[in-house]
Amino acid sequence: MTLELTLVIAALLFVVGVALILLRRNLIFLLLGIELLFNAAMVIALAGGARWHSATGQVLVVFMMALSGAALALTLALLLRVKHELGGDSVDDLRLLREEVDE
Amino acid sequence: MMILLILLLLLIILMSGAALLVVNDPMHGAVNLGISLLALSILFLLLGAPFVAALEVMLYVGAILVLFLFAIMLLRSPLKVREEARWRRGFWWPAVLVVLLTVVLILLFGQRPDLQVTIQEIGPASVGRALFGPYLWLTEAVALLLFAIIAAVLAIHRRDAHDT
Repeated sequence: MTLELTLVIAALLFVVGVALILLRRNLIFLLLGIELLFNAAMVIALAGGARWHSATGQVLVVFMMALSGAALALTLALLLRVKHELGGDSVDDLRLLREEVDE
Repeated sequence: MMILLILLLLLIILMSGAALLVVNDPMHGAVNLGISLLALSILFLLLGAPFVAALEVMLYVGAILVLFLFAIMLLRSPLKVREEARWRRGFWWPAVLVVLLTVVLILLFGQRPDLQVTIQEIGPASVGRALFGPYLWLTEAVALLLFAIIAAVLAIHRRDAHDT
């Protein structure tokens, strides 16, 4: 029962993350949604590790933490550059990316 | 008992996720994400992974959330005058969730023995042995990737300096 509820929590995190990515226009909220997706995957990996009494799930979670941190650092740097170049932090500002490059 | 704890954690994650979906200020969103990350670390503790639970608090709440805060502070456009209120506006909802998290912690450590009935605790020693044993090359690859990320971020900012 514990593991089932854990999987329910993972599904909930995934739904909230996807909803954040799809519904919000602010890029910061989009990145928060991506972090929630990573956390849903981590919960599932840990549930698997707990189910089969193996340390491999935790190893996978450690790798996922490193990867999400790396991806987030790069994306935040790109976000600061988008703000600097395009003057906004909304998804709608990114539609003008091509015209800005052409000048 | 365990079921009750996990249901409470699910409730906290649900409420902070709902708050994430509706708040306007990115700073409030970051605080709500921190709440759900703390709840997740308690869930990891319940799943018998104390090492990952500690890493969740240190890495996510300590590093990634602070990274988010720095980005939000750098992104916010200056000279936006706001009305000063008596209390901060986004204060109450995270405070309620923090109180709920404290309740979970008290319930968790109130009675210790019957927690690990079906779930065995896998401590940091075996995780470290796995990380530097069979997964050594993967660990080195992640280290290399982190180094490459540092180089990439530096390159992005360097081009920034050339343009201006």
